Amino acid sequence: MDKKDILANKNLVIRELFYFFTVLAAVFIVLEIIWPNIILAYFNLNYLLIPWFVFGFVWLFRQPHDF
Amino acid sequence: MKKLKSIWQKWSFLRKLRGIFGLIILILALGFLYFKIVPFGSITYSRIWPRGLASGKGFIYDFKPAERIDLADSSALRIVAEPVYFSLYAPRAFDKAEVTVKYQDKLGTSTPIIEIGVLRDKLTGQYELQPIQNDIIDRYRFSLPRLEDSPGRLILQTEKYYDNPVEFAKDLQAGNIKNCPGGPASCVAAYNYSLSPAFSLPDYNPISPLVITQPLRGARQFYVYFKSGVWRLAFDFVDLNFDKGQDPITVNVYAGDEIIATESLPDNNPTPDNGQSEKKNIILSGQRAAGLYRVEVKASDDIVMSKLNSSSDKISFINKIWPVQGTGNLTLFTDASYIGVVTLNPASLGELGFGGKKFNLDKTYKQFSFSAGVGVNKINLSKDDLVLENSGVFAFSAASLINPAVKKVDRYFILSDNIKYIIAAYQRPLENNGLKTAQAILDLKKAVNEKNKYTFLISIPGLDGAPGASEYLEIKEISIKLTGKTVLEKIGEIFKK
Repeated sequence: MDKKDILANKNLVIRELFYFFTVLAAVFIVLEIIWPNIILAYFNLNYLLIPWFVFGFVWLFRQPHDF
Repeated sequence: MKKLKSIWQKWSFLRKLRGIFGLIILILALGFLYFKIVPFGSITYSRIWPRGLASGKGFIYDFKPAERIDLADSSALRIVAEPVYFSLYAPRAFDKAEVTVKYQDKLGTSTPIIEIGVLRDKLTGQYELQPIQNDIIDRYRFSLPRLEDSPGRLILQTEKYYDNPVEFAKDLQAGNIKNCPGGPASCVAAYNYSLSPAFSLPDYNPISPLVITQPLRGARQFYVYFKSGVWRLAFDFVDLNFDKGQDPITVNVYAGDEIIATESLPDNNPTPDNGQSEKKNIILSGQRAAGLYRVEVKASDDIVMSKLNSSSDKISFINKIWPVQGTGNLTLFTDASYIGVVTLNPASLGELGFGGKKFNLDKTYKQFSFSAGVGVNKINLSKDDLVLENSGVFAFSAASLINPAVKKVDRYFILSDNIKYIIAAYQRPLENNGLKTAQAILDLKKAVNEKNKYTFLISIPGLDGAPGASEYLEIKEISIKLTGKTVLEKIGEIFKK
């Protein structure tokens, strides 16, 4: 695997992690709407936003851009 | 397995990654659903101080009111005044709660009792209370001869009248215990123990029906003694409509634990256009054998009983009475040696007479406690709108006082000459390096479950958080084990129907 492939895979993992946290947050929010407190009693959903933001921003800034 | 392996190998890197992440999401969602359903019917929730890294809201939360809790120290829940309320989020309905409390007791002799309870009735604010600690019982446990000391029952006697608890229980059932000529009600004190000695007034003959015109506010219970034949109770109520919520009224008449008559009045007009008060009435009647009956008036504080017409003149209000809107100079009688008084109305502040002594009420929303001698005590109120409470009964005349209940081992209890036996359903807390651990079992089947939330209360009678007071209770851990039906039992029930 050359350097280009590794970089492409890295970008892919970051993007997939962003998708993962997006879906996870969505699932948790839906569960919380259906059964209030089911998630919040155990876990503060705000903490889920930290990795979601981090991976989202990293992925965004690693995109090829022409500006 | 080989097939799975070959499928996995055929998958691209992206597909594998998404497969793993999807599986994680599925496991997490199923995990939370498992804790929502609690399939095996039992789960334990804890709250530990300090909280550490816990980020969730927790299952035991919302300790209030804030002014009764000292928030300066986060290493413990420091209760400086009572009662303190908290909520328990239960993902589904349960039948029983085993509450374990770990605490440090920095309380004094004036606050010997700690109790924990769960809300039974939202309208009347009634809680089922269970003991955590009773220093008075613990003191007598080691100074008086113990007849029985089992997890379910503690029997103490001032002298060795009995050697066998079975013999005592048999005599108690028959209402004829040794060295107790006046019957169990006269010489037995109880704590958290249901004891209903037989009560009768064989020579009772009411001269005329009783009419109580002193308005009384809120929920209440009273004893009434009917002679054999037809009985009748007619209530006039006024809905003040101070609060916008619904104010239904229910009156239940009990013979022992059985309801023999009931009447309910729904509130069809909770928010009248101009906020005016409304008049309502309930009439109950029946035909029963002579005896003592308990009447329960379930209503909110918006409801005032303006008039009570009874075929019996033997009426005693149990534990609490809230006279309002009267003409002043009200006289009441109680069989307890103390009263707790609180008023929410500044116009009601002033002097109060109790047991021949004068006391001064100088602050609203403050619980005052006044003591007098043992026996029947007279209460003189120059102004009403005062909430009067004690462990005895209140009546409008000394002749009307009837109380079949045995004396309660409350914080005012003194072992007087006539008390020969103490019966309690109470286990003292275990102590280890100054940290006490106590357990209480609460019935959740009858508790209020509002949107999967149970409301609990911690009561320490006498802990008023007065300025400069150094007494407090420091809770280190509350753990609640909930038990209920398993999923299989629930499914079985559905199929049985």
